[in-house]
Amino acid sequence: MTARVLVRIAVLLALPAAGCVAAPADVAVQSPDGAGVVQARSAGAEPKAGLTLPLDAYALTAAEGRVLGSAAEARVRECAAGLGLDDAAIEPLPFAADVAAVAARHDRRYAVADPEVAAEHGYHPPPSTDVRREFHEAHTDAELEVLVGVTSDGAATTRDDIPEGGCLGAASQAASVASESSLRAGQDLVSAVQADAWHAALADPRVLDAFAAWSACMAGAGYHYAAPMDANDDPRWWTSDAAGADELATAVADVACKSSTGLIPVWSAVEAGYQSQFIAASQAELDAYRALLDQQVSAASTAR
Amino acid sequence: MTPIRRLTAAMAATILTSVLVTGASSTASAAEHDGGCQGLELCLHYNSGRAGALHDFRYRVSDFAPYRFLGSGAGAGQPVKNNAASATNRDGYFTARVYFNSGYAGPADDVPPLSARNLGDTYNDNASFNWCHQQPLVCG
Repeated sequence: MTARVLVRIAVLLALPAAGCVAAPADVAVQSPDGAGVVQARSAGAEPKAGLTLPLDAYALTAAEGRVLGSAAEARVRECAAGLGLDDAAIEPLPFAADVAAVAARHDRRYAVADPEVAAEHGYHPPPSTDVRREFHEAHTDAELEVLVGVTSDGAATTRDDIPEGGCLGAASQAASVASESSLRAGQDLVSAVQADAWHAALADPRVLDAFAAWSACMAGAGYHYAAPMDANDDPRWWTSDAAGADELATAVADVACKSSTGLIPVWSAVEAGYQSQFIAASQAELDAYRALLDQQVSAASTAR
Repeated sequence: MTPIRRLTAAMAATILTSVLVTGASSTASAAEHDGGCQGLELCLHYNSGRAGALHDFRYRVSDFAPYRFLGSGAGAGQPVKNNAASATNRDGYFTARVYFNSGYAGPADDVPPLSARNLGDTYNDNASFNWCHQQPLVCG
């Protein structure tokens, strides 16, 4: 049985025949390189559990991020104190990345996927604290000049005792044990693999079949879109900061159709398959990049 | 000096003064959306290599639809959404992440701190952007 047939069957089983149909069980999808079967999460699984993709191996984990973050924070405090800021003037600092944020990093990759979020916010991201804005607004111009190296008129500081990018900029530069250009090259490669896999998945017949099933389900509810991102990007939603009634109703139907057609497990498994394939094609470069990340983490661990 | 010439001179002085005042206030305010690419801003450019007209943003934008390229360069007056070719990040700590879809959805291009690049995946397909911590790279 081919992968495509497997998915077709899964999608057919999942199509709403009469009203509500139970979500399909896990969907097995053959990865495009034929190397193995990717087990996708069940459509009924909580999105909060957090999707992982193969490229996540080439990003810092939450624990690694905490190690680098606390090392950087210590450097910022030392730098700012050396430039005359006392403890109260340094607070708050924008090091707020937490485990939940890392686990949730793919939550909007396929647009809205959680029924409660859809009902409350439509296609708009749920309101979250803008940590960066809070950080800027909590500091005086003189404090920001030391912390980020920019004066109130937006120009780079002329004080030659303040490093480029201020104490925050200097702290993130110091975290780079490797050359900046090697790190950038690695980031660019990860970004390119991510984009190529996304577009390969969008052109894959298994994903196109799943989109067709989703589109038919949406049409049954009175909404006409060829693909999920067309619904997300409907210009009617993006004229205001909050969702109106039409947007909420469309998003609720969208998430219900994603769930009943098993769309996201198929889509993410196909995308994961292409990521694995493209990672394998650049394995040596990606391993070298991962080694640079590991060096950064171990340097930050021993620095403490 | 004839009354007409005096009036003309006065008008010229008034115009000159207002130009000076406007000029001074626009450099001193450093507001976002003013067409100047200043510190702490993400600037999107109409052309590759940071060329053409630009729009400067200090804070995240869930959809670029309301914004147009500013100034008098190539692309001035054109919509920013799905029309940017390159980007400059003038923040020293945060990475700017430019998304293919509205509301921070879909794939994205990262613009690291104090750097500029031509957009890749989001070239002429930029719908939204957010600021991200570097360690680990999480946004919002």
